[in-house]
Amino acid sequence: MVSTEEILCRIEKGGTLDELAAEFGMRKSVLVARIEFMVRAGYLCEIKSGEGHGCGCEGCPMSKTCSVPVPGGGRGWVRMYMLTEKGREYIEGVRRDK
Amino acid sequence: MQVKKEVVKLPLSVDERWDLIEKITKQTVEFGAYKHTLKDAIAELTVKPLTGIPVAIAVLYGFWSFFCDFAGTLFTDGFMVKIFDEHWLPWLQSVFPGGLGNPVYALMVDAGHLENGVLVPSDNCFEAFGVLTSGLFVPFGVVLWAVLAFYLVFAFLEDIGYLPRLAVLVDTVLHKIGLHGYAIVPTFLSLGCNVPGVTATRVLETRKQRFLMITLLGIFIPCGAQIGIMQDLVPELMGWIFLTLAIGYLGFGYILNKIVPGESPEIIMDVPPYRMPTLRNIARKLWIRTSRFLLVAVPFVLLGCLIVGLMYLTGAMDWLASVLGPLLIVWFGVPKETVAPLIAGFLRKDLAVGVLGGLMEQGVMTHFQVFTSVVLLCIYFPCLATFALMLKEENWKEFLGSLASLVVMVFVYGGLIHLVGLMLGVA
Repeated sequence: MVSTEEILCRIEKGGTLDELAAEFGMRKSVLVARIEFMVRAGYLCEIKSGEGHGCGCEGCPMSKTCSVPVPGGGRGWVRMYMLTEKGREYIEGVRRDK
Repeated sequence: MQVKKEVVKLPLSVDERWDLIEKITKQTVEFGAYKHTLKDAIAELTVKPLTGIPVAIAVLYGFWSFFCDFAGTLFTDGFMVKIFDEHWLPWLQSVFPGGLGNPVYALMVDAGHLENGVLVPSDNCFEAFGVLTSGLFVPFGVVLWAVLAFYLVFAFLEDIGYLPRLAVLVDTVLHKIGLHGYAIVPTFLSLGCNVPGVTATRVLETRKQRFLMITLLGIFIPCGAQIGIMQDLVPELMGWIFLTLAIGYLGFGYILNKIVPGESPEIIMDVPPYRMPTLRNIARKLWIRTSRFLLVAVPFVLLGCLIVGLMYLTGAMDWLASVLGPLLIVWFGVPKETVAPLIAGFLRKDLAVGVLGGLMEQGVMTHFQVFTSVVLLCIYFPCLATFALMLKEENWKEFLGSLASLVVMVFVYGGLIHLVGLMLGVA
């Protein structure tokens, strides 16, 4: 069983979803579902272009058809995630309990 | 399908629930046999370091070869130099009223140059430095084709989905300078034009990363226009110039990362599959980017020619050269005449290299001084459009930080290049 803590710890090291799925011996679709759950739970956040800077892709004339690998931009086919403060606290909490 | 029965103790923790989901999925969902396609094989080859790095080198080499052959050899040398130097310049010299020595003629067509104390007309558009000669030759004769070639290949690489793979490959290296693999997108874009490159830094999540990226782009990444004109003027030095800039980018980035407070978090990304690019999309991107370049660049190049010409005519350039000369000669090891390209560089870097080309034609610089001057032009100040965008994208504190980094960098790195030249006996 792969724990949430293990996944979060691995995400902290960076990489790709394919690498993670292979390392954990999981189907990528299950991993994606777990990551989406972690996003909803507030442990991870999905990075979107311009978020927090008030300047996304909306102003670009190519935003509808763009295939530039900008997270959350264009057709949105590149997804990027990072740990949130809550995610870090969760990892630290589990480590302390151990 | 046979379903294995298992006793589940309630309540379940989150992890246990996911584990259960996976077990149920494995037992109840039947997946068809997976066929490993050629696309999958290519996708794997380009993302694993062992094979991905040689592929990346091959892709970049192909990119560079196309850039040089299409823009430099085919269009600039093959057509534009002939059109401008053999037809446009002689025609203007024959029909424009005033003639050599006339201030308006000097500003608009040809300032001429001294040979054995005699003012002689220029025989090429780099040297003439008039608004209608150099002012048109730089953007339409050289830079337009370079920008077109760059954006054509870039749009293709974007649309097939190669850039995320490049991002994965360079992730480890870029983490050393406080960035992550995705910083390759603004870096790559800046090689076309720094303006969209700075805008693309929005892809980075923390303010620290954005500050690092914008500062590094403003200093170390030459734009396509500048690269195109450098390739035309000093093709034999391009390797050394890129190497010097890459060392500065990584070295200075490493130092900045240590100094600047803030976070550079790791990210995890979902690499998309390769896709077939569409002609419509590539054509649209090419049109939007090239037309924007023309709208921004041409007025600045013409204005720059006018300002530099006026400064020569009024003696302001000579005065500035005498004031800044000692600093340029002693610290950077370049002649005082370099002040003219440095001033032009405030408006457009490509124009600045064009001015430098004029000086080279007059033979006032050694080979090493040309190299130092070109590197200095790259790092000393972002062009006006990039500068304005930096103001918009950064807050005041960050903007001043970027400027301070820039000043320190120019003096330290410029001085270091001179020192290395002295130690090697070439400066």
